[in-house]
Amino acid sequence: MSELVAQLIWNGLVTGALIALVALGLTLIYGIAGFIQFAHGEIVALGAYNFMVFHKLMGWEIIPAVGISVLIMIIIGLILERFFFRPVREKDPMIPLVISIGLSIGLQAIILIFFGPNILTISDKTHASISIFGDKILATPSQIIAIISAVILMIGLGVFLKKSKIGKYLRAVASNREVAQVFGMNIDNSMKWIFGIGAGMAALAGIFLGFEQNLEPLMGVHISVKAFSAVILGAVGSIRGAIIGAFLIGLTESLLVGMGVIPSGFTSAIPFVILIGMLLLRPEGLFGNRFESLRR
Amino acid sequence: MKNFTIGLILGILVVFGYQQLNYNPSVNSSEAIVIGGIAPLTGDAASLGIQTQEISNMRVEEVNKEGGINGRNLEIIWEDGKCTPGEASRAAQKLIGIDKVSVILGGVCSGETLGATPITERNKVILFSPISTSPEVTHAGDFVFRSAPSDSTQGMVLADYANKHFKRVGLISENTDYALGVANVFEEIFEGEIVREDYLSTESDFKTRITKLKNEKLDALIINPQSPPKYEIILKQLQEQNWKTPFLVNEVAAGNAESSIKFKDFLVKNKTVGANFIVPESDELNDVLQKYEAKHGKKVEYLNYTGTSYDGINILIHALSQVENISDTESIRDELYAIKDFPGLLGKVSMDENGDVNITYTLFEFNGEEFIPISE
Repeated sequence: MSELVAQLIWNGLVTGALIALVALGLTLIYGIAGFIQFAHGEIVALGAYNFMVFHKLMGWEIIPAVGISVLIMIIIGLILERFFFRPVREKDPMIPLVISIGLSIGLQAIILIFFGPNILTISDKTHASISIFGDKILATPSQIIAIISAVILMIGLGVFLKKSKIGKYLRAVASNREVAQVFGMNIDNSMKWIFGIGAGMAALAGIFLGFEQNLEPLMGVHISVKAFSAVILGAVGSIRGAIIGAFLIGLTESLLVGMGVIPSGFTSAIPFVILIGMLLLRPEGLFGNRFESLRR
Repeated sequence: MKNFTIGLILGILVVFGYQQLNYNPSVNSSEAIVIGGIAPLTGDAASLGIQTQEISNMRVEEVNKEGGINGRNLEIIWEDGKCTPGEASRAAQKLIGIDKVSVILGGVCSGETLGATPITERNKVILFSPISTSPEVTHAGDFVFRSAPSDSTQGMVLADYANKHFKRVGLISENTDYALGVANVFEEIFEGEIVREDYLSTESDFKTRITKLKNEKLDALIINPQSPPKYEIILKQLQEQNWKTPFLVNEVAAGNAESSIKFKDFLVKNKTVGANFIVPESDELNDVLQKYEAKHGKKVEYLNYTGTSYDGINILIHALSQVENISDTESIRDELYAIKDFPGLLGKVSMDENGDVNITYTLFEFNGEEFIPISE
């Protein structure tokens, strides 16, 4: 394999891993709560800004700064669930959807008020790249950590949903909320879990994204557009579908543009082309019907 | 009671609306002269817009303290053009339609200036840009002027340098009116091969483009961003992929050494040359810089645009002082065309028949601390 292809595949994997972390939260929330959380992108951005405050401004080491930022975002995720989504849970799904759009705009405004419109750097240090796979690929430490973390989290989430008692509860609720309730399962707790997990993974994605591309108020919007496409590509509500969809988008973007198959000016259009194509040809996504991964 | 309340609200709206319709500050001879200002006050290019706003306001305050323009104070109403044609067009409509201005200082980004031009030309409103450098501005209209040089000479000096030193270059360029202006002139004049990669202002991931360019066996890379933050992200990702060719950079990069200093070892090792225009050392320049620092508690970020902004507002003030009626934009236009050897920070400034100034670009090299002029 040539150095070019190897590097492009690596770039695609990095992008795919970041999209996957965001897409997992979206698909989990859709699978269980039944609506698309449009403010998920802002959780990504807030996670990154939080990390910047603790690591760069307050001088915390990377690992504690990541820990506290993820924790704060989990708490924010729980607050959003409790005060904005729980009161309308039994209403028409259009209502929480509209609330999430409003929250998205509100959280963007909060970022603008506290951090301003300019692009900020997440750290003053620039990390040199290291060669991997026999000098064929240049990768930064943050990229390697992002890919490893994403893979661990994806496997961990899969095991959690399949093996743990709470995971089984969540899958039961995703499969049929009313029946699960009849069997005594606590819907409030299920919602807390998925909003917490979703927000935590989004925060982590935001931190990795900050290392890759610096911080700006709309950083979450750009990646969540790709994550929406990944979720639809894979099958809305499917964990496996979201992961495969995310990596397919990351790799397609990188390889098609990098190999010169399509002009680089069309990079931003790729997720939309995939999304429209998928909706026209196979609206149920690559992995069949809704919730299949959560149910199994 | 309900009818009374509705009647009261309607009455207030009618009275307030009538007052608004009659609010015409720029033609009331006893009150302040109000002009409009369009600049990117938010977004990637905000640092350019805010500095322009601060320099212009500082000069206006000085003029007002000295007695104003023919006894009348000057005031600028600023609108955020967000560095986009659409926002600038809306800002121009608001300034002309609601604030009734007959002169607008701006835009800052070329896209803003070109976006506002159809509105200002139709209303015969003066549009005076202190920074826009796109070659398209030259023929944008009879009421359009600027105090910054045209990019046609920027693209030309970069291409002349590249013709002497390189055969095959990469060009990574932002998809904005300003950056495309530089890129297109460069492409026209450069005799060698170009591998060009354009990107949208919303993009922040350049890894794939850099990998692709790296595989093209280039002699040099031209980096042509619209704003310093994008320049920094591109440099970060170039450094991460161990880029090893000389760089040619546009004035956004060469005019703001702060961004380059963050990557100084990388840029010096690869040799970085940029295009910019010279702001000659002078007592007046030092005075402006000191006043700015005292007022804002920081140094100017862009020395080159300090020169064009300061000269721009001064030229405009001079033209306004020469006319009897501020609404007579044809007279203001004629005064601007008549500008010749106007003493400014950039030297003796003259306006040509297209509303362009006689300032040209030259080459600078980054030495790790600043960009210093070189002769080629």
